[in-house]
Amino acid sequence: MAFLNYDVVIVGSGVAGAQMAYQFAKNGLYVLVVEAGDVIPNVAQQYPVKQDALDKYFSAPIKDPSAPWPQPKDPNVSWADSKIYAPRPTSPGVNSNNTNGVDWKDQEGNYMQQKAAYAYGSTYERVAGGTTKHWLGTCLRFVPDDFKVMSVYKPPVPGGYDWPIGYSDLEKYYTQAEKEIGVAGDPTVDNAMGAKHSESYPMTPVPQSYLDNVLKTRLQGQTIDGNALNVVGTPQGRNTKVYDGRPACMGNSSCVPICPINAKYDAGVHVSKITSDPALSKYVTFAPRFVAVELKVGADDQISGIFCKSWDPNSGAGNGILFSAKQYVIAAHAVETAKLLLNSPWKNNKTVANSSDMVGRHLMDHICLVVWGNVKKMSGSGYEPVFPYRGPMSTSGIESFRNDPKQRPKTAAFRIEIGNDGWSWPYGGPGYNVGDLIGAARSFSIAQTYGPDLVAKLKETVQSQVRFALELETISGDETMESRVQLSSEVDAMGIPRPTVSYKLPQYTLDGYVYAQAVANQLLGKANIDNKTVLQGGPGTMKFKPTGSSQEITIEFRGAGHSIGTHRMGSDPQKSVVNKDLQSWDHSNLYLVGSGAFPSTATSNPTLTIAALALRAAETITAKIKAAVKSGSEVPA
Amino acid sequence: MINSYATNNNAISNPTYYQNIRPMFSQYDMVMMGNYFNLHNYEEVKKWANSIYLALQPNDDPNMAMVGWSKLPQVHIMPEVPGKWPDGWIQTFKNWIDTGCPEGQRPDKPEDAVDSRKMAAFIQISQGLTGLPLDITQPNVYPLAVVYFNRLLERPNNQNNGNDTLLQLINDWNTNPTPAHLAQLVKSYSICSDIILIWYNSTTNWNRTLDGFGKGAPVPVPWYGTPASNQYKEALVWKVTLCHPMAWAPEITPFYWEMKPTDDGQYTGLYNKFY
Ligand SMILES: Cc1cc2nc3c(=O)[nH]c(=O)nc-3n(C[C@H](O)[C@H](O)[C@H](O)COP(=O)(O)OP(=O)(O)OC[C@H]3O[C@@H](n4cnc5c(N)ncnc54)[C@H](O)[C@@H]3O)c2cc1C
Ligand code: SF4
Repeated sequence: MAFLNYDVVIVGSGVAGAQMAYQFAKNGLYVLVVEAGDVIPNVAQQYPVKQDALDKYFSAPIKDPSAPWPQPKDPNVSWADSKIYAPRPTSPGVNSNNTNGVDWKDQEGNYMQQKAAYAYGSTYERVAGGTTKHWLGTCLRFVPDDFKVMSVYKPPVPGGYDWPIGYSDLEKYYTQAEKEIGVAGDPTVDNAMGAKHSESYPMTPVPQSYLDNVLKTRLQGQTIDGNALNVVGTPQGRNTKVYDGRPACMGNSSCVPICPINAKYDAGVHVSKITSDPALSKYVTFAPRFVAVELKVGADDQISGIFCKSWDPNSGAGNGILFSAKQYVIAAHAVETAKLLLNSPWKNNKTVANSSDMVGRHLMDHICLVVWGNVKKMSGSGYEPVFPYRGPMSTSGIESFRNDPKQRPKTAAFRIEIGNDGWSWPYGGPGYNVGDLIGAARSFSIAQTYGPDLVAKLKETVQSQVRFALELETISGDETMESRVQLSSEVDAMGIPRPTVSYKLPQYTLDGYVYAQAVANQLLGKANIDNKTVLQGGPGTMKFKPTGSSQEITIEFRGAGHSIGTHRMGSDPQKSVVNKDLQSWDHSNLYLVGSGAFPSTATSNPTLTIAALALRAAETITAKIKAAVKSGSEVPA
Repeated sequence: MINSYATNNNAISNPTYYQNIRPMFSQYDMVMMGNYFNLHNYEEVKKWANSIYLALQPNDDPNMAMVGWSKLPQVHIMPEVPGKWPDGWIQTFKNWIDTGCPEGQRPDKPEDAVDSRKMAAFIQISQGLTGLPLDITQPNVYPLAVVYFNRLLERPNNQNNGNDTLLQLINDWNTNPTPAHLAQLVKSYSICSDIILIWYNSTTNWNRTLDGFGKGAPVPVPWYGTPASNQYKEALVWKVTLCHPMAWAPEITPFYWEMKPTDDGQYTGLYNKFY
């Protein structure tokens, strides 16, 4: 059966898909959204919110990004028999090195099979609203040079190229995306870096934390290699007043993975709008629990349909159905979009959109160098309380290393995120400090510390905790060709091949890590922080030779959750999958949105740019459909 | 869970406290509302019935309703997450008030079975080990002590020392309840670690190593099942360190994280009088 009347079919209701659907509906286009996952009960923006998910989160002993969302597979059952119909990689699955029986290399235990010697450390969600369900909400724009690093700085990235668009092409859409998401921030920092705002943010900034302010005072006027160590507030998709029907942030500190009060934006906001606002919902068919399996191509090389399979928690996988529309948008996340394309045969033994053979290649992330320590008193001995674990999990950063003209020609640029979340990322929450202090790392051990002594030590060590993440840029090129997503020979409960990932980091990025390490050491020294960072031997542990050195070194990186590449855009159809409008070079009615289209990670978190590009693509597609209707080449839906 | 009640719109016309009212308040609600009233105590619920009734209803001011304040000033709407009981429940509560707050048949509760002398010793030991006053006149403390006491009773014996049990420790303590004696007991009873952990982390880890605790998939703990949300937030480590548990808690000061917290926890958004 086929329903031919849609203007657009969108696969995926993450920030890219949901915001595009919203734009199409506002423009009176008929849109079908197929969403592999379920709708989180009570996702509506009114209270009570998300009680199921919250219960799962609160009762999970480990508060990782996947905790509130559908639970992992039973280890005794294969994926094919798992009854999990929209599976996804989970945080323990990419971060655990044989702990509690979970290992990132486990090909059977993990949905996403990892093939390289070190882990791809990022995950995603497959529920309505997508990965923003567990994002932090950092909403930075790229700086103008991020789009043209190759031509401006000529870094040693063989095969690298500039983005086919620039900051000025996106500025208008950045502004629009900031309104849709609801970003609180101060444009001064961006403006100073050349990322000029035509309008200010819709909300005043989220106040910087007490910890941020201590660091700000200590680092004031200091520099490293000429870069000022200014601790500046981060623009965030988090309300500072009642905005878009959602309350102001109350500082519940659980932003990743779940904001209990919806002060943090997630794409469920737009899913709600398109499904519950009668003016929009009449144009939208929202189909949760429909997994896109394969794209079909007609004789004219246009996409002619999307074959989807539905599922139901009780009755399991349903029958297939072919949906058709004038235009097709795939917004399924970098890994899943690549998987869907690779699972769609086309002519001459090629797969859909893949005449360049670039689909799935150039998988990237911001690798994170995480450093942590205790803030020392400025005079005398002991630690200074800075009171972490309060407020949004990050409210500030140091942005001056994002575009250092001295360093960018040599090594990858980075931003420095300052965490309000103590040592929870690398070490675990303060409960671990209790365990360490009493020496109860093993069962049945005698308490080493107790009573008032324990209270004093606990306060001292926890209240002075600080954590930085230096998030490094990667630019796709020859070295990322084999950093790729492919199809596994094994299938999930829908009978769809699972993804495999081979992650490979290029030299420019790795050299950047070495430089970032040196910056981090100096930064901790200047802020008078007792460095407690240790190599933990996690799945992001690897060896390499820095440029100019004959000695191999061991480093440990962590994933940022920013899956980038796999269908990169460009101006050369031989080297890229989509053009500057995110339109497939091979099929003019197919658009591939999301950070999969980025040819480099740039120096900020991706989501605001994902939204801006999606809004831009929505405008292009709307104009195209309307022009076709006007010229009479198509009958209105 | 709110969801499963959402369709329950049938009010009970002649409810009693023990049969109909008390079951509507979870252990969690009890802890979270502990500073205002003890929802698991008939006399208190009766005394505060009108206030509780207000706390069940969202504020009429849209902005206040949005952030989850109830009609009772300064109190978040119950339960846990700003939300609303099904109308049938609220009506049941109203009917209970209107019929004079009948008590009903008091069932045998597990806490009634706890030997008060042993409980008193457990609380003293807990105070000594945690270094915290654990004031049992505070509404949260005694019920939690009962829960922890019962849980620790189920802790298996230390393989190396057949007498490393809670009851043995309590016996020993009762013979000489002094700080110096406690110092000695700490050296021979590994269950002291568990007592500290259960108060600080609201969970004990006696069946597995702490170093694996932060990394793997959730592992249910055989003796009491998977930790529950209330245990997480009851964890004293958050209060002692003036940290905010990564969870919902009623907040009183907008943008509190800018400010230096005061020792009563005011700027962490937590109740300031837990122990
Ligand atoms: C822990 C963490 C923290 C993060 N914090 C930040 C941050 O602070 N700032 C920032 O900018 N970014 C952050 N990110 C990244 C951010 O979450 C993602 O960039 C963003 O959510 C991607 O949006 P998307 O719409 O492209 O994809 P997704 O949100 O992943 O949406 C894809 C959708 O497609 C659906 N789908 C997948 N396959 C199919 C199929 N076959 N058929 C039908 N539907 C399908 C999925 O169910 C999903 O709903 C973070 C990520 C993580 C993991
Ligand atoms: S701090 Fe809390 S209220 Fe604010 S965004 Fe994070 S989770 Fe939501």
